[in-house]
Amino acid sequence: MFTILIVIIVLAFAFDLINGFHDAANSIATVVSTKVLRPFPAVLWAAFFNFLAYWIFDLKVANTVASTVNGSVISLQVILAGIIAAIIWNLLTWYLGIPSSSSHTLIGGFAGAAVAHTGSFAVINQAVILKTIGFIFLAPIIGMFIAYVISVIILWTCRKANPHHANKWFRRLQLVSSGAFSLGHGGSDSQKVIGIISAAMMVYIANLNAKGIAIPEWAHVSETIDAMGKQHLHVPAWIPISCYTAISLGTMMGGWRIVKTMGTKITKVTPVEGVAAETAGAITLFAVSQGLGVPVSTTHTIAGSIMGVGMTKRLSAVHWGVANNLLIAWVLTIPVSMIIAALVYLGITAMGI
Amino acid sequence: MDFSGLLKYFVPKERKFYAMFNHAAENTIEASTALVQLFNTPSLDDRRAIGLTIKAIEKKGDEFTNRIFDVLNQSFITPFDREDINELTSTIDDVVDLIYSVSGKVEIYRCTVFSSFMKDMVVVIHEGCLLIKVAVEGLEGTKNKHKVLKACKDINKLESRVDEYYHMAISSLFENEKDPIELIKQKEIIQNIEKIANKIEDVSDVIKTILVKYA
Repeated sequence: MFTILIVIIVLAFAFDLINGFHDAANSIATVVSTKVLRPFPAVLWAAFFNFLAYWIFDLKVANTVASTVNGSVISLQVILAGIIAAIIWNLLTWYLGIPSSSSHTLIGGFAGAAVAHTGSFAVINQAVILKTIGFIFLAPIIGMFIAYVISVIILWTCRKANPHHANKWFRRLQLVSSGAFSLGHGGSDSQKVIGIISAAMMVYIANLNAKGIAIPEWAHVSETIDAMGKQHLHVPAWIPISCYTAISLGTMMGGWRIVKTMGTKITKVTPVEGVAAETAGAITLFAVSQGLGVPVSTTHTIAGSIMGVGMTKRLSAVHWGVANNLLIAWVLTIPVSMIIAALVYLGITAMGI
Repeated sequence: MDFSGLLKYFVPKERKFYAMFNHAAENTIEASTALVQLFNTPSLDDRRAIGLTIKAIEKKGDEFTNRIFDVLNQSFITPFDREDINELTSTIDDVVDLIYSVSGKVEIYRCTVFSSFMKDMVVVIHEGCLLIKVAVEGLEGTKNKHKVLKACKDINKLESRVDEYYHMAISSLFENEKDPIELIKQKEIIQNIEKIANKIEDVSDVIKTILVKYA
């Protein structure tokens, strides 16, 4: 029991690390391509704000992830299967070059393993899954819309400005906006992992309770419901701190790789466009993950935001063909990771773990 | 208004560039008109006068160019990417510069023989400059896309016509001209006229890039 818990926690950190590794490009692409920061400082800057999210964000997303399935019926094997499936799908999509969202993978894997465990779909918290699926479509559109509005506002307020002065100011502002975006990234992405670990801890605690064993201090995870009827997740500080550390480390590792491949994949943006896109991305991440507690993909959000900025110039800046491909990949993510998770679950239970 | 028009409706516009582009384009027409005259004027004194006119036109072109760069440096909002405005302005300016360089060479070398090939080439150059004006004018607004594209295509055709004349002119020159000095002079002039045609094609390429981006 304890061994499985440790394995889950280690895998969850690995997942978080991969997440930061993958998404480092999103956080630093715009600051680096406008030459506001050189790649290495940019990576440090992003990692720092990833970690800062610990003090800023409520654990709302973590709570949502933890409540994807009905907590009373799951076992640690379910969570283990879910996380293995998520890692498999993430590596697979990375290998095949499909941009998928780690948040959707995690939720899909979690749900799929739970279905395999109970043999019925009733175990899934439909509200959570539906909300998440809804925001697969909504997050990029919200990002796009906000980015368009911000760009138009910037263009109108600065239309009489001297472009060189304005450029200088926007370069400075970009430090702020990219920081805000990394903050949103850390806050929303590492919480998914916090949610998974919390769910595992709660299962572990329930198990100890059933056996009448006292719960150790480090494992005090609980859910409370406040006067408003809202769920709050309480976790010991080591969980979020290590999750935020993992995502920051992942960002730094991924950043190093980007330093090597710089100049090949990064879209050309001006500081003004960078500020507009990052601010819109940050607002979307804050509003959706903090306001509504829904896990969203940072990749989709920033992609949508960059498109929104481009829309002030031309509609063809939106690559509809690419968007279509992405959409298919995104929609596939949840069902496919559910299936993988179910298979992994059946595999590990057959092995008697 | 379609969706694309709706999106652009809220974006602040900057129109003053178009008038300046038009002035620069008209300047190429003036220069090429004078060039055609130059090749059809037998008297040396008259040619000298036309040479001075072309020099003045070239100077005027430089002023247009500098003015566009100045305005570009002070404008936050531009009708299309700054690099493209830069590129368009300098290629149009280069056309006038190359015309001036041909007229200068005619003067320096004291050319006296203007073959029919040369005359045909400069007429095509003039047609190309008229098309530059059509294409540049069409950049303003979104409705003229087809007109602009057609002008660009026609410029490409003109360029290949100049190429043909160029090959014929050079081969007939080497076949018929036995005086080496005269041969060097004429060859130089023919080659430089051909360069103008290439530059006009560069202008149409820049315009096509802009169209592709802002379609």
